[in-house]
Amino acid sequence: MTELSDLLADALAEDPWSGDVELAVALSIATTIEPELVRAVRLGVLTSLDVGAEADFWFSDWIGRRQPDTVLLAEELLPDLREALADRLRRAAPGDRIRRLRGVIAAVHRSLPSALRLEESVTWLAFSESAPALNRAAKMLYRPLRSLADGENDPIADWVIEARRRLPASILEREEAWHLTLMAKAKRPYDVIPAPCVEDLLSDHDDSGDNGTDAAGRRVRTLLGPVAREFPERRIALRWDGDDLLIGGTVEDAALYIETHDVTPLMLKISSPGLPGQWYDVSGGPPRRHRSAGREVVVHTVDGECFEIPRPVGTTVQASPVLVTITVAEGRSGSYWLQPVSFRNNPSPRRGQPSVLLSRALRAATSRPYVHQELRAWQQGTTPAAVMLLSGGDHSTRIQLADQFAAECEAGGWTVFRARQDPETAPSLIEHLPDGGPRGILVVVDRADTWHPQHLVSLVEVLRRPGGGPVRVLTIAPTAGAWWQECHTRWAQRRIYATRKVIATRDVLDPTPEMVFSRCYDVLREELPGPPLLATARRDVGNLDVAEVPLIAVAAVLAPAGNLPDARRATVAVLDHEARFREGETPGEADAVLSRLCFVTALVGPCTHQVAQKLALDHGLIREPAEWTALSDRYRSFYPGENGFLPRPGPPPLADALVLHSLSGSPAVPGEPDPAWATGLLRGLPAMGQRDDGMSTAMANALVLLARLSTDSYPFYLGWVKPLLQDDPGFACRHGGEGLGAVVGLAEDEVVDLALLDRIRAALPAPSACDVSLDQAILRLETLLVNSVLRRTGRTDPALQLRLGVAQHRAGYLRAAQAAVTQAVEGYRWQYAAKAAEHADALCEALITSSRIHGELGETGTAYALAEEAERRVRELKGSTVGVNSGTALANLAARKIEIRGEHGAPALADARKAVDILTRLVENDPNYRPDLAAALPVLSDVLAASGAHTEALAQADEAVTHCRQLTEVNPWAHQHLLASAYECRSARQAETGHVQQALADSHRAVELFDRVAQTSPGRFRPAVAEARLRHAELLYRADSDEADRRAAAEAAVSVLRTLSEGTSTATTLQRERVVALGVEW
Amino acid sequence: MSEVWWGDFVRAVHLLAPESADVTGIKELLCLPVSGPAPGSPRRAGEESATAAATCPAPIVIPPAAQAEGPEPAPVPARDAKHSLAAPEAAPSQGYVARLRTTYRDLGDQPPPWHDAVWLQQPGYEPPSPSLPHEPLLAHRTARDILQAALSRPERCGDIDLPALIDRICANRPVGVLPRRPVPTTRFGVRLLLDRGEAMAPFRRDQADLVAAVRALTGRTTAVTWFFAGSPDPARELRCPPGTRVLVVSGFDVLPHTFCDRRAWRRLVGRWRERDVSPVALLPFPEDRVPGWLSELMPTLSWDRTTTAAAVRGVVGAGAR
Repeated sequence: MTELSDLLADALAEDPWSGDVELAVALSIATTIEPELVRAVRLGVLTSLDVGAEADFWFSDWIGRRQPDTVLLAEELLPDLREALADRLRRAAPGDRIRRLRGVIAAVHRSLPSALRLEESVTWLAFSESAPALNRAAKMLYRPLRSLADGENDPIADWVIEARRRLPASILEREEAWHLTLMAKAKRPYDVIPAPCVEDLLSDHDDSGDNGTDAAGRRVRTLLGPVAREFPERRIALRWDGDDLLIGGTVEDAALYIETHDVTPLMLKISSPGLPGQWYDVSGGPPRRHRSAGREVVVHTVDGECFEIPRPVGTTVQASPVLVTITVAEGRSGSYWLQPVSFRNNPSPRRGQPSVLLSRALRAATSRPYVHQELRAWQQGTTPAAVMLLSGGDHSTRIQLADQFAAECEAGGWTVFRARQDPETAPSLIEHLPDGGPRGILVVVDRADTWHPQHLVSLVEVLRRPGGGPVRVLTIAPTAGAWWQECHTRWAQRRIYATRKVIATRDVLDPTPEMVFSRCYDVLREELPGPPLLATARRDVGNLDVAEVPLIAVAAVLAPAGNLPDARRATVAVLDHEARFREGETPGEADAVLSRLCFVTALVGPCTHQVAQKLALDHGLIREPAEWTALSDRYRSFYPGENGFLPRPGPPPLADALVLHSLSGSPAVPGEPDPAWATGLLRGLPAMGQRDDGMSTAMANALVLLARLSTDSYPFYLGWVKPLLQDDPGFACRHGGEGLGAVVGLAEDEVVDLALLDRIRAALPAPSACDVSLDQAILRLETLLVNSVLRRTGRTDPALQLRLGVAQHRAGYLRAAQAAVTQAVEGYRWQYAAKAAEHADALCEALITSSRIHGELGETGTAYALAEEAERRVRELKGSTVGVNSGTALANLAARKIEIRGEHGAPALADARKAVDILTRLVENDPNYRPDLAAALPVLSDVLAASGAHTEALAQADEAVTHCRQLTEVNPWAHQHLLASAYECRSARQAETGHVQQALADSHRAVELFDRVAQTSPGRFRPAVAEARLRHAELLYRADSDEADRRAAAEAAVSVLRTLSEGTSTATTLQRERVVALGVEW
Repeated sequence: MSEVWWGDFVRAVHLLAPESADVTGIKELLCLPVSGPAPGSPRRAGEESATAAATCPAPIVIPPAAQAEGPEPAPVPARDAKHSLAAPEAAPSQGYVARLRTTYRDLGDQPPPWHDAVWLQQPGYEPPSPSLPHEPLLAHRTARDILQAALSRPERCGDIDLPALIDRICANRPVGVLPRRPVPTTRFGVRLLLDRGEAMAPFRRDQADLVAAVRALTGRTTAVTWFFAGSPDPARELRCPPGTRVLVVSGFDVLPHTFCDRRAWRRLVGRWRERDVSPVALLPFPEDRVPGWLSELMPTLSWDRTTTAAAVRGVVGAGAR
């Protein structure tokens, strides 16, 4: 105790108390003390005191701070004074004037600022320490908190800092008080503002009987979580050290970091499946070490963010399809990394799991000895670096072969890596090249067709080191496309041996059912020893379909019987065993939930945690998001997958069968979800998901799966898929080209009837808002529909030809489009001659499309003539026709005029201006014309630049960029190419005005955007990529930048130009000349 | 870094098989950047990154296995035209430290617990703060009488004092001036001498109220208010016309920590008395705490609810006698 406290204790021990003590005790619940308050309390409550007590109190030792008109009691005395007051109130008779104290103070202080009045109310309720009053007091603290959080009323933060010194301790320890304090700390980051003590947070305050860790975790979450988002973000470094995860420390020394809110104290929970989570204070100091014991690790922040930490070593060479994206972040180049892969010492807690057995059987069944032999020969070659492309077959076969080969290489002393394009998930990035190991390096690049060719070329370059061991790069792709040609050429220039092995889907060397069964059975018996197969069963093997053998072999091993089951019974048996395996030792509700989650992931997987969690929440698998961690941990203990994703439950045949059986419910599989629930989930899918969203990818997966199952089973299509598409035809086209392609594939297989396909076509977005990734699927769809009509009617319809031509044009098939649209134009001319008004719109549209296609093919004369005709007809019909887009016609004419300027020298400025004016007016009434306007503005800019009005040209280019940015925000995949064009246009304008650096920046953006859209629709956008790269290379030359950069840019442009093929587009003579001018050989 | 450059470099290293010290020389001859990360330096390879093929995302290979041997510069090529344009070479880059994205959330997007609380104060609105309600030291109903009693002095200007007149006539004495009855009056003037020292800080509003009340009693221009802090100003004596009543409002030295110059007070009061100026002290303390020197010097009144007009008249009358 302090001297002052002793003094007070002595004073309180006297009886009666002196006047100043009486007043101090009574006024200890007041926030501020003014002479008026002292007077009111003396006259209204402490009536026995004389006026001298006022001065005695005012100048007493109990005063801690004073201003001319206000005093505050010493803070260290407040608890004793309030205790004395509480005691006095307890002892007071019902009519005692001391009971009027709160009313008197409130009456005097009614004009005080609301925060101070609230503080008095809270103090009055809290100092008595009765639970209901304390709760009321705590809730009152949310009022200033809301003002602080929502109203940005920062002065309240200053009050909070002061009030914490005065409020009773009983209220300060409440969560509500900490929320308020932390919110104030977020607004005023002063060290003096207290923060919750880590020991208190982690101590078990919960009396609910739960275990202490959970209670502590709840307290950390509930206390820090709600306010965390108010704090600025901070980077927390993460890195692996063996099996230990180091959290915190210097970000620059780490490989990964997470961004989380820097609430004080900064707490993170690390959890692993099957282990209780552990909280760490990472506010500062050395990194914290978490021992993961080789398990998966998830980092949880207080505000609910969960980060799954990638494993340092992979267990397969496969690149998960959901991971393969080339992300070119703003201001940073795309990058890739190598992850070590090891097949040794894989933990196998799932020994005997039917899905694992089936995977092994499938691997054994799909082994191709001849492919394997060639891979071995390639590996053992004498060249220091060699590349092999493994293509053909299906993806799982390719991966199984590659995994098998990689495991053998590892066993032979080679170091195996897989190359990945997602460096954001790299667990440890270090700067040294990999050691060759005792024998050499094998790098497997799955889905190599999604890589940029230059990345692949440089990958081999980088690994090939003088004095190092041999390097083998095994690339895996469905086919060898233009990317392989490009890479092959460049490797050949660098004397890197590149070869290709195609896996035949059906090969004369395919083994007999007996051989396959024998292979599968041997592998399975190693895994799950049991009684040998009966001879009666072996006799049946010869009658089996080779594709069904693995499943039947697994069923035979799991449930040995006299005869082999047929494929259907085998599937049910394996599903049954799988469900029972999942049940484990804790049967009950949790297993039903897990089974339902298996159905979800089988339907939409592989999918992100967010998607699975949302579906689990929506369909009653979990009640709140917090339950997801336990459920996903449990799921992943059976089905481990790529970081951040939930895989499908087992190999494709089993997962597909799970969906089929769950939906049909026949034959019944114990432990599987009931069909009504499964059907409900399926029917709810169309209502979910948007483009550019993990959900959209999941929906595309579902569409592909449903299409696959429909192909196998027409009743399944009739029962589940057809109603789904009939109810919402747009479901097929909302989730990118893959989903639509799967549905169109069904129509090609004559599963989907053309009437339904026509409804799907009607549900497609307008061309101006259409996702570019749909282009190829739309072409297939249009081809099907048009051919069917042509077959049915036997005559050519210009409208159909135009539809087909437009689809072909969008898909990048210019020659075919030209032919179709030319036919359409001819047909419309005839019709126009008969009924001008009726067919004017269509003719103009056909003319404009034809003009554009001719222009893109470099046939500028024809393009110009068509554009002029279109413009003339629009002009002629302007008075009578309302539907013709005269702005588009004029913009097209202007563009064509620019192209043929050298030939005709016709000024296009008036046309371009007119086009933009018309489109601007149209946009005011109908926003659907915005893409047309965004496309016309660069044209006007080009025309203005050509006429010498550079300033106005630059302004138009700026406006184009602005329009396109707004369009891209609404629908990025429909308008990214427009934005790229706008950037390119602005780049040209800036270069003309001498701002080469800004021009380079815009040009770089244009290249990035064109690259991105070219990945989804290569036929359409590769010519644009080529042109953009060429311009960028020219700009680099003009900027006199580094010789190596210039040359690399020019080579990159040439490599794309070289891959342009006849039928889509080829390099023009002018482009060839420009390349030569850059000093690069064609 | 371009492939051609490093290809040349690798060929040269391969052909010449140089010592590690010569590798730098080869780099210099080929105009390659010679600065690399110091051995054991944790600097990220990304800091080294230079420009590469400008038209496509330049690759950055980040092999994970550590092996610091061989003459090859550890970080592999990665130059980006945009980087070279946008950021100077010396600027540190953290391109190699990757940000991990959120895998999922284990808390719902429920609103914070205070979302439905009533706003404490509308942001931007600060109501004016009126002064606090004040209860005066003298009760409203008696204040006027008390002040009247304290500020007035008896003067024989009332009705004719008949008994005195009859006595005079009966005694056969001449009646030059009609004897009149004494009445209290403030017509000789009233002065308020207010202590504005620290000791009277709690009574500032009382003083203001007192001034207002005296003015209401004597007329707006009659009363004159002087202020002092601690000890009085001797010059005040000259400004009091004869017969003036001076009300001194102060705590004097009642409180232990306060100081007042008793000699100064005695001198001042002596001068006043010479000029027929009568002072009265008004103290915010009970009578029993008034120091003896003060009660000897002038009449003292307690400024509190317990004070009555009769008591004041008694005290002031006794003082006058």
